[in-house]
Amino acid sequence: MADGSAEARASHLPAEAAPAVITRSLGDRIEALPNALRVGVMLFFWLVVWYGVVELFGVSKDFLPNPIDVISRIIRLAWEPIGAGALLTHAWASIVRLLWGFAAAIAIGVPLGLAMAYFRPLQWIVAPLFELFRYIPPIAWAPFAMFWFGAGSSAQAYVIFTSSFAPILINTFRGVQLVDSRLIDAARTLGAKSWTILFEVALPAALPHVVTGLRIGLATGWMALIAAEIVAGTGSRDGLGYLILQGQQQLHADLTIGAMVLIGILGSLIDLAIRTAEKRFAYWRD
Amino acid sequence: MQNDLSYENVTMRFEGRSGAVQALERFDFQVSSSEFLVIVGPSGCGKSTLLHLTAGLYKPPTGRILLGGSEIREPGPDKAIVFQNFSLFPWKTVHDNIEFGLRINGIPAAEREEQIKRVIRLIGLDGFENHYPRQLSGGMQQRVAIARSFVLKPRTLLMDEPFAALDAQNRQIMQEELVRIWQTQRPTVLFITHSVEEAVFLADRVIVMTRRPGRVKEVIDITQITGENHWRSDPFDEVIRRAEFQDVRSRIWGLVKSEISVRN
Ligand SMILES: Nc1ncnc2c1ncn2[C@@H]1O[C@H](COP(=O)(O)OP(=O)(O)O)[C@@H](O)[C@H]1O
Ligand SMILES: [Mg+2]
Repeated sequence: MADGSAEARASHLPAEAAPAVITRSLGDRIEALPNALRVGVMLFFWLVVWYGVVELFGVSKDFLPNPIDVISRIIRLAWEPIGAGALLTHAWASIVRLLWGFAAAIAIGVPLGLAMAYFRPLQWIVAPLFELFRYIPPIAWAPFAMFWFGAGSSAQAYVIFTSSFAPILINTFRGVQLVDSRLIDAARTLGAKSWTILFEVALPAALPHVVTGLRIGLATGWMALIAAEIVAGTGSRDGLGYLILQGQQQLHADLTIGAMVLIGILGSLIDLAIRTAEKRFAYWRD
Repeated sequence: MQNDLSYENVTMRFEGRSGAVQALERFDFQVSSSEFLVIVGPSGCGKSTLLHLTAGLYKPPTGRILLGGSEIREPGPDKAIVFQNFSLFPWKTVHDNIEFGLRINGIPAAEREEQIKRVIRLIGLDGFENHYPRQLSGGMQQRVAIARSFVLKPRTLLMDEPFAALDAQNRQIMQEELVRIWQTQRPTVLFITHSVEEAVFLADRVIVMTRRPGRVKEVIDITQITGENHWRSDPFDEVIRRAEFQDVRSRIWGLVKSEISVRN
């Protein structure tokens, strides 16, 4: 029976290969497009809808500017300075902050996660602290961070740290915990001692988990960054969050929305980059 | 070096969620230096546990295991083990998996490369040096695991159903290689198999274990039956047709079967 149906399906193949014969629904047509093209087409579709709604109902620019206004605002931003500088200055300022907070979260989160998986008592010592801080949203740290670091980049980096830290720590910890104990046994019988086992067995085996933690940490860090720039950024006059705030204070909705769009684009680029890295670190997996 | 193994009243328990499991009970046995010992018994009777204890992976709660007169306390390259599930490092290539043991035991690079090359040829995996385990069949992975142990020239070679994933042809080749290596390096071999034929063909002595908790049920001395001209020096497919071989095989099979079918 299974053979029969497989045959039947095979005999349909030529018909499917000739699209002209069959009338296809709109859904099928969209699905058949290559990924990038489909996203592009749909994005364009929504921009048209946005434009249409604004124009059709004569919405005021202060309430909701149309997409052409927003895009041209973004383009003008490329050379027209606001605050500390033009577009690149702000994007760069945000990314540098992100990387500082993220780097600090890696520097503490990865070794601590490893240590917690390695020395059981540490797990029980750290866990309560973790439970305590878990439900404090990163942005709630912002005012406190200003006590310590003043209102500026360091306070913002600290807020990013608080949001990246947990996913990095937890994924590293779980990654090491989930290492197949039989591999550790194999290493021991080959003569490996604890440091060799740590660096040559536990760490490589846990690496895909660690990288997943980094990806999540970077994404949550990026979210926290913008909030941090809005709350704790009064000292420095740069960053994408600062642009949002400027737009709001000067009643330029196009600037605010433009900065939001940029944040979305940059965030997805960062995620894409780390996904690519993730694949490279898991080359040996199925 | 004396590589005799001595099991003195060895017991092993596992504390599980559904209560404790007594894997071995008063296991008492002597293996002479350079002996080829094959262990058979019903599945779950504690064969793998016995091998893991001998490798030093854990310590028996009661009793002792001595290698060359001194108690086994920790795992090490002198007690190489081929695990039932291969346990290759999935992020290392064939070459690097074999190299690992040599490298961490301080063998210089040039010598390492030479030995890896030789052992890879021996297991018939030339050209696969840079493959990852997931790119290999089960049989090929098992051969890499065997090579990883062989290159360390261990005092005891502990093998847990090492040829189970091989097809008949490769199995025969690996059996011959194992015998050859055993004859040149003279390690003490502990070899678990569920193939009674393989046991009778390879062993100096065969231990039949009772069902769990595992103990020695009976020991069959093959060398006493074959005399000087052991079966393993002749081709396997020819040996298994001999009446004498078949007699021993069915006797051992009967012993194993009685342990499987007994209920209480
Ligand atoms: N790490 C472990 N934890 C709990 N129980 C175990 C463990 N290893 C083995 N056992 C139990 O001990 C018994 C013997 O297992 P094993 O030595 O693997 O048997 P065999 O290799 O003869 O099939 C089985 O009942 C098994 O479930
Ligand atoms: Mg077993």
